[in-house]
Amino acid sequence: MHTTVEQWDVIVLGAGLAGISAAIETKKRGLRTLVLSKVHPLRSHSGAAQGGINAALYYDTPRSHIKDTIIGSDYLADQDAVDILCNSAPRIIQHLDNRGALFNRTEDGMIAQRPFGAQSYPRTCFVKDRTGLVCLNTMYEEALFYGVEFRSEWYALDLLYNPAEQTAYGLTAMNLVNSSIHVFIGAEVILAGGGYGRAFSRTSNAYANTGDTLGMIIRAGLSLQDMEFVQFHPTGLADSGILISEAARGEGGILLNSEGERFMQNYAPHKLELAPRDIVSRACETEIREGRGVGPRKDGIYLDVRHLGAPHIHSRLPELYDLALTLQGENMIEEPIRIAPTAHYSMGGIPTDTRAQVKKDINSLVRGLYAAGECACVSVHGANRLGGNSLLEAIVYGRRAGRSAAEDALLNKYTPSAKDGEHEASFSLERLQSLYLSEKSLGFFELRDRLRNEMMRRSGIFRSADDMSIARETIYHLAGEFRRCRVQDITPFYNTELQEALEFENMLLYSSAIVESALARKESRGAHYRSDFPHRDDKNWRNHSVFCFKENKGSIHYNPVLSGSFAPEERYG
Amino acid sequence: MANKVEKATLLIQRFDPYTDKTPHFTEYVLEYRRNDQLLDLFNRIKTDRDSTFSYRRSCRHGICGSCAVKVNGKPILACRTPVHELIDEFGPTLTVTPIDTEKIIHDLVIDMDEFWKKHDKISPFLTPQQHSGPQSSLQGSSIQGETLFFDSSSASLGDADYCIQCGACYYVCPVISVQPSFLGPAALTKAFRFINDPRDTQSDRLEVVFQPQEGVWECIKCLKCTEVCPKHIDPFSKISRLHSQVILSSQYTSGSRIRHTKGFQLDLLLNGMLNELPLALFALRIGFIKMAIRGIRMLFHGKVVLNPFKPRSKGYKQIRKLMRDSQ
Amino acid sequence: MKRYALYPGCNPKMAEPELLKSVHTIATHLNIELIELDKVSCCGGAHLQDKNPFQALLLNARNFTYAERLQLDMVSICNTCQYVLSEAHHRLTNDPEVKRQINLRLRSQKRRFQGTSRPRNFLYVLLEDIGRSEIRRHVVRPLTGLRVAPFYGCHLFSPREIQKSSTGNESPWSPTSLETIIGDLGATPVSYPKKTQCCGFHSSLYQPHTSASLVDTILSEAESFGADLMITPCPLCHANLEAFSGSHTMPVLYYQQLMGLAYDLSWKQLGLHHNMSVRRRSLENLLPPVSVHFS
Repeated sequence: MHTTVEQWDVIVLGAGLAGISAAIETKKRGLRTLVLSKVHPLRSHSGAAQGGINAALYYDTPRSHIKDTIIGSDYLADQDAVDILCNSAPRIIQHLDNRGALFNRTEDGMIAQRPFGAQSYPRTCFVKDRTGLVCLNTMYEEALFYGVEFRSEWYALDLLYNPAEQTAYGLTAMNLVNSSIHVFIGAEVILAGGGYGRAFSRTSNAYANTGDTLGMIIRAGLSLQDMEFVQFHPTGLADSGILISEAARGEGGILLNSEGERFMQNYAPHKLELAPRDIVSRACETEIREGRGVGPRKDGIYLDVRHLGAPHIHSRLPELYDLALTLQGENMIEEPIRIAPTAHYSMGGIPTDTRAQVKKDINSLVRGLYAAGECACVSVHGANRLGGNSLLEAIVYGRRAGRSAAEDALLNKYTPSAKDGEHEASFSLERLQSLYLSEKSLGFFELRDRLRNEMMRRSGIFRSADDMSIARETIYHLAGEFRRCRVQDITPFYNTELQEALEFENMLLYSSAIVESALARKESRGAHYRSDFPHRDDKNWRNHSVFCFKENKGSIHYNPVLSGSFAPEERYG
Repeated sequence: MANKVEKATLLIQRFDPYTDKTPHFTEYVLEYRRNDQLLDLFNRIKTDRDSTFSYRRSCRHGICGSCAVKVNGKPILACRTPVHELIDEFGPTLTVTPIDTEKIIHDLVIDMDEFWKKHDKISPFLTPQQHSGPQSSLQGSSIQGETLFFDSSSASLGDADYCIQCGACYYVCPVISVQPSFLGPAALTKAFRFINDPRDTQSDRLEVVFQPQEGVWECIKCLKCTEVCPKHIDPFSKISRLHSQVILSSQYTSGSRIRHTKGFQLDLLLNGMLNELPLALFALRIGFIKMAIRGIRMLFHGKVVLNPFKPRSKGYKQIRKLMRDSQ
Repeated sequence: MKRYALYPGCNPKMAEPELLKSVHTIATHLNIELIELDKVSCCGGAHLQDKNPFQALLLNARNFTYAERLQLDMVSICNTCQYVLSEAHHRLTNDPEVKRQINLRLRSQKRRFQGTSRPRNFLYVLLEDIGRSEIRRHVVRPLTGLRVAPFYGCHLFSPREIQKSSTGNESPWSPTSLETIIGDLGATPVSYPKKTQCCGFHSSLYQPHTSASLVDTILSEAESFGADLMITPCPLCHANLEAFSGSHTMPVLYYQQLMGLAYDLSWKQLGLHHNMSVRRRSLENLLPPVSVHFS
């Protein structure tokens, strides 16, 4: 079988905000850039972001933004990374505006900003409740302006990595339309494949968010950082997990339990519904566990915006109104809607420095490999992300990844040679073939359901050593079962069953990383909460966890957090 | 109420070019609850009955635009259309086909290349003042401060920037199949969005939407695009506004299309009502000869009024005055 | 007796006289009084709207005032008039600022739009106000064995949100009103997927190729489903279906004319001598023989 080999200067994997931002930077600097994405760029999950993008404009200061981000991260974010994020923010907003993003405006024609969770100043710029869609469209349009080449519906299989030289030199990918496999050789590879929320049964994430880049990293023998920190957004629709933006609370929405009580008073008396997301999620989950949940299964909480009135809801929250009505049959103008905490964002991911270059370990970098966006961990969000910082991170660090890749490419003038295609693709081809070899015709959909339920129950909002040990066993068992599965569909034409099987394989790998990291961290911090270790322990645990597979076993070590001007304090609600 | 279970029959068009010679329909009988969307049923078919069933989907809440399919000929987003609504409209048996039955890759997954090409054709990016073109240097890439802009200016775009490129309007448009070079409602809406953004400086955008065989004149005003848009953008209203912008702009004054619109107004000024014979002459000029045979047949069937002042409304004087006051 | 203001449109007064004739004939027969408004203007035909939308709205506001003065609802007999008038009415009643501006202009002619006259469509007046049993009652020549394909056209129901009160909230994808009438006249309705597809009329003058293709697919499909005859409510669709019939020979009638045939009314009064697709002998061969008259 002939495997085509393609040669590029830069290969970007993922065409969401981070990937597009990176590609624009390398293309502008004259590098031959190819963007691969398993969905069309405009289908990327960046487009689902609702609430807004943060920036310290006008009377606000980046220092305040930095402080809020560090505190919100429960002191696990790295100071230098956060400085860059917040200092760059105003320029990013101006850039988006210059490129056509139609931000909501104040009466004077300035950019309007709304209050958002755990921010001490209203600094979230927004476009109604579809900010992500607008940012994604704007950046994609800019990429078209520069002539960036996109290839949609290519599914990346494996990273090409030379451990001896600690160098990445490309990747293998499959054209979903006809299943042909190409080997892409590139001096610089930028990973921007997004998050991994699909490992949990209630998630706001799209079906596409299966952490494929993380699976690739693990298979290459590289590490993942802070995987235990999974953000549960407090308000997803109770039935499907689909996001009901923080904006609903930012505009004044309140949370009520089955007794009609505004229970956030008991958990975060100052910030109430706009306390950091992990605090609000745990509050909701506690109310539910203690029997004060609402809905037919008593597994939800009421979000009440009725007092805002119909005109305000239709002008500020039109999308949310329609979502609740269409997907859950609930009219937020007339009744409170049922929400529940939903797996939303992955703070953890591929460790990078502030140039967005991937780290092999604390002191050494992988040559030719960069990562940005949700799949990366710089870390700007630490143990908990603030709403409005994710769109910002994707663009800021996406650009940095592009610039760094371009700088390094022009500096090093390193061109990996086009090696033998068959050889390079052999690992990936074996993986594919193994999905068809089993004699049993066991399907994997059921295994996937079990994994997701297990992760949600035992490695979700509340964790304990007992629960997670069981989860670890389950994952191990499911991985074994999976090896006995066989994909039924043999078509080469857009084989979605094959694709989902490959995605599930990645899911098993990074779920392992999540559980192992969570088991190992014997404290509670930010989104990671352990009922057996309920307090934050800065003395022993103010560190980043670094996980990798060594000889089929997970191994974890720790790297310190880059501390800065803000000494850890108690995080108030 | 939300938990009450009903039954639906889905007739889904299946096609795997690897094993099938032609597309064929397979029947599935499924239970559904009130809040189930069509995508939920698709997923159940895939996981419980036939793992080879393939369709595009991603976000699950109608923002990514992946899952457009046709149910009984009507394009919808599968993830955001409750099954009970479809049953109310079409009855207990739903026929599901891909949004384009000509270019199927596998089952409900189609080749959308043409759609994306047309999107790219209208220069779908803002060309702000700082930039002179794709070759501009690095310095051009930002920041003279954000623009002063008002919500009313955004509002005048009528949500044209909200398009998720799902293809529902494009694949329902009857013109596409008979005039394949027509840009289609989605691309024209996007063109409208940039033409009417005061920050845009590209001057030849109207020319693209004016082209015969491609632009706004191909639209037959059937309103199907407006009827199906899942984001309620009303693409037809954008096309209509583009029409008036083309007519108003001094660049394009000739051609039977322009003359038709201008002639229409002149006819009303004269009589308050329309007489198609003089309008046809005015718009087509020499080209009118092609219609001559039809014209003669119409004459024999008593369908032609040769008097240019008939039909005339009895109120034609008031109508003329009102029209003059609002020119 | 039911009374309505009739908005005749332009086409029925010129190129489609058979529509106006058959409407008046049927109305008289069913004891409906239609007061034809003779001082109204063209609705703009969706073309004036492209050139000057405000002007078009102004003209239509004026049109409504005539029906308002008669304290009657305003009934259309053309799909595009139906759509344009519904849109105008909707805009004027939901946008107070626009209504104010329009009335300012109308004041010079001592007219004022109030919104008291609803836009209606003759087909739904028959179905809703007159009622099916009354429609059936007048059938003296049941059209048994006649296979009739309805062609709805595209402007009748869209946009649904705006038109639903005038058009019985019919689905633009699966309407049944014409099939109902066909069945009530004793004929066999032939449903086919393209019954709601656009015929292309609005670009037919300068883009005849589009109309020719669309009309061909519509007529071909109706034929392949076994129809002998086609009916339509809209003069623009009717004109286009006849003008671009090409090699198709299927007679295209107005539903009012079909009703008149079932009621055994005069050929001339139904305007059937005007239809270009109708040859008297061939049409009469399709119809069942006249049976004994009921008194």
